[in-house]
Amino acid sequence: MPRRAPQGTQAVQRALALLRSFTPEAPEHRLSDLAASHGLHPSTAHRLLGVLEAEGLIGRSPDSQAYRWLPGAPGAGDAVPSTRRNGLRPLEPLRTPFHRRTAELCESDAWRDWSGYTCVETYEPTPEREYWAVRNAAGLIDVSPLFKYEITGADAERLLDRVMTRDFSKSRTGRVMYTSWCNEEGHLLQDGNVQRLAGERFLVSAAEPCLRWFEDCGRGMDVEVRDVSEEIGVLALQGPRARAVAEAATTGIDFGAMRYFDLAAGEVGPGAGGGPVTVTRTGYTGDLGYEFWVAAGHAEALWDALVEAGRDHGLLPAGLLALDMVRVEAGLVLIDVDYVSAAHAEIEVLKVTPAEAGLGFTVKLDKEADFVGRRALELELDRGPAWAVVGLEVDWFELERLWSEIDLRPQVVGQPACREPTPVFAPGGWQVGQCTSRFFSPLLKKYLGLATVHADAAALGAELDVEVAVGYGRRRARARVVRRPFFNPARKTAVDPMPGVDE
Amino acid sequence: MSGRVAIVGGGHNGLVAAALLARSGRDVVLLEARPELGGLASTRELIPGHRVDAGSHDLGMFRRSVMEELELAGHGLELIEAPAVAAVPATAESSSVVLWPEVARTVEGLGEVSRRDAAAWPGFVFELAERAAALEPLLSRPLELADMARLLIAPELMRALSSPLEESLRGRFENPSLLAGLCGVALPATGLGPRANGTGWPLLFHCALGGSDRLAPVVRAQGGAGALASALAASAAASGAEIRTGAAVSRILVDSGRVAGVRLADGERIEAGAVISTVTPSLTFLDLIGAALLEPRFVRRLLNVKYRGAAARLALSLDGLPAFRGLERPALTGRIVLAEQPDDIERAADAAKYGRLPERPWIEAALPTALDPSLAPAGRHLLLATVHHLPFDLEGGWAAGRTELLARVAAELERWAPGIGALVLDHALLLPTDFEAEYGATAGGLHHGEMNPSQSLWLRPTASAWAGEPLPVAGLWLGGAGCHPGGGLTGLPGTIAAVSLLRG
Repeated sequence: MPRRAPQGTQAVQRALALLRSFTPEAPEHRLSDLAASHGLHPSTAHRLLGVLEAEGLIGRSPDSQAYRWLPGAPGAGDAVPSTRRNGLRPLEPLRTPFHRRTAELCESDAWRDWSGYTCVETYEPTPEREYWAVRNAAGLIDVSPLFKYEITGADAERLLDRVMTRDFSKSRTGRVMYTSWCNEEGHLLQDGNVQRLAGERFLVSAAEPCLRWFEDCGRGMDVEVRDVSEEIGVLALQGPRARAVAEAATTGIDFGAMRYFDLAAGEVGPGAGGGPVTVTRTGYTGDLGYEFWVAAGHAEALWDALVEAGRDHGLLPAGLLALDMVRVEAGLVLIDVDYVSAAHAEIEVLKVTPAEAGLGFTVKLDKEADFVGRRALELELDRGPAWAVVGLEVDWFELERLWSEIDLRPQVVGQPACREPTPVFAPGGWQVGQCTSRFFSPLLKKYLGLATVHADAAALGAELDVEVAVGYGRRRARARVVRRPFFNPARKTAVDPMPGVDE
Repeated sequence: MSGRVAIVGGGHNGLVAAALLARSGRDVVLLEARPELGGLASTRELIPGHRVDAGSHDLGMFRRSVMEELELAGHGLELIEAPAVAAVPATAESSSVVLWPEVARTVEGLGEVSRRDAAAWPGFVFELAERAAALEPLLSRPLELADMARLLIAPELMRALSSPLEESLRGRFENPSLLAGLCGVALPATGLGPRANGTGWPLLFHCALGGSDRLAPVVRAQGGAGALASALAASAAASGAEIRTGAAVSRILVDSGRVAGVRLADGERIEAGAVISTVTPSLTFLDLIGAALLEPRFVRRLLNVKYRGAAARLALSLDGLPAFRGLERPALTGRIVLAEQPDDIERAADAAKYGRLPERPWIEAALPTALDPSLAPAGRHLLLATVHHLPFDLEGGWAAGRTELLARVAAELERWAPGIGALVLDHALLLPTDFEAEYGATAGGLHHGEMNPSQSLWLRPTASAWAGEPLPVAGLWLGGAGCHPGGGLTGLPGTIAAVSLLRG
């Protein structure tokens, strides 16, 4: 269950934060400014400020247009100890360009840190409706905390070809390439998408910072790498209705012509003037979907246009718990959950090659460029990867039997995806790996997991035991290696996807 | 694969490598970008009628065995040993001190300023010699794994080389001029103040290579340091090496991870199966080879190499011998250290650290004409003032800083040698930016990388590359001051490169 703040404490916290804004240095504030700077809806801010005023903690400016600091009032900025007033800047969570919109809608108040950003875990108390929106209608997910690097210059393609395992000599403007990148030993650093925006302009999105890596690899090249993470907001619009919503919310893009992993530039809003937006037919849900890349200044206009267009299509904003559920269904590995980046693996055995993380298809040893890690990966080709990522389906009847021993039904339904790794065993035997993500799929009605196991235990159909928590006990349940992705609708990659396609 | 060896850079290290390899029967071509040989140890007519050493001019650390093997005397090299090691003139506030190679002579002089220091001197020299002797084998040949153990079982040596020099010296001596003089011998071109950790290293380095049984005397080549380069070139040529000047290497050619030769700026391609690069590691790898052919972590290590230690060289043509207070003529033949106390050097380093000119620049002066009158027209004297511990990236830039530097150096010289200003007939100035532009001294650092323990021995230039060990490009060897054992007119990096290459 998502964390919930005790009833009423949020209002107190918000009121105190508002009160601290009033200081001798900054005695006057307008309602709209306060609402904006505190991420509050104006009506909420108005209500809270009204209470503070009625209690004699703040006053009004002579023209009544603004709220005003009252000298000597208890609790105001001069009395409440504040690190900011000591000249120190407290380490505050960052806010995405959509924060004012998402905060307004986040009724569960369940937030999670993602790369320093405060992100919605679930908007409602449980992620269930948000999950179903992605699979049956459309979900709108704020994925702005991704790190984004703009790579420009005559050698931009050369740099990417040197860093990335994919063949960038084959990349084309208007296309997105999913790729891995490795260190010198061929150990996986990250995976991510690279947009080719123009001949000499790319945008890399990554889960973790890698500016210096790109810079070091590009030393001496005619190329500029710029961290644009904070300048660009990203929304993922995912689900069978995504195309209809996207079409209604933007201008200038031919969605019928957009193939899987295409990108197109257009304008926000049904009429012109909403600001430029780049749309990619990509996502982390395994469904039909698009991602919208927008300058932070136009972020709210984009959100509003998509929400407005989504009214007729059952669009719901979706939080990170729902996203995690659908990405497991899609069989997509997640960095530092399903594999450990070599950039911060504490011990050697945690490092994996792309093939060992299930990303072997991103390694192009036939490409011409000498990319970082190539020699090691060529050696791996002879030897074969030591590990494999597999999809596991846990035997439901066995789960029921294990739970029935303590007189319960399996307590796995209705739960968000679990990321705590548990051991995987050869049937009745030694440990052969670990299950790193698992959850009960409400759509497929199956208890599914992503696991990393010894390559020789990874054959399709092979039986394995996976440790499951049954009450306080730790038991082994039989599981079978099944095909990934677990869910792979035709609409994901369909040409000219229309509503109705495998809905 | 070509059996030819191409040597990039005609400084003394490149020339030593060329001569040694040619003597061993290898086909050698040496390529120097400048019109004259010698690099940072060349002699130029920077002032009309004068033979001015652009950089190093003291051969006290140069291997005698290499001189003999290459028959440099037969190729025209004449050495003059100065009677004095170093001298600190007197000022209104401080006494003069002279350090001589002979212990008794130094003790006699020190007795006039501090009986305590005079009594401590012999023990100090003995201990220094002992430590230097322990270090010397590690500096004069390719490093071996066993050398690590040799250091580890000598904790006192480890402590001495990693400690702040001033701290170690102050425990023994009290006279500020004496302390300043010893710091002045150790710290030139290091960029480090005497209170910095690791400044024990340059003093030990100096003593280890300077004869190890005593403080290294100043030794000059008759006709200037360039005479060493000429003799080395003559020796190399006599053994069949091809020496080319005005041949700037623009690329070290690499084919499938192996050197294939070099390309010159004019497009000429020279095939070679091996390349010895004596330019800085930064120039070698990032400019001549290119980062794209190297592993990113190696590139990162290269970028982490510190090149601090920028200096300027002011050459003055003087109408007579200047009068440094309290120093007789024999004392003027060695290094003349213009600092009253170690903190004068420390303050100069402080200013440089923040990108500023020191209020009082720290000057190491030399009067080569006191030993070799042929360097200047009759009756004239040549003063080489090396202004150490300058920032390479001077706040406001060197174009603007040049005049101010000259003014401050002139004021400082006048303080130490009253009346010297009236003797000046002509001058020439090389700034840190000139050393980089003309001699490829990255960031103006004269040692091709700061000389401190963190960039010495196995760590020079980086943790993964030192002379004698395989570099990421097969067939490539570093042979300049940027690799083991380091900077100074020693000939050792070039020797070690040649020895390693011959060993294969």
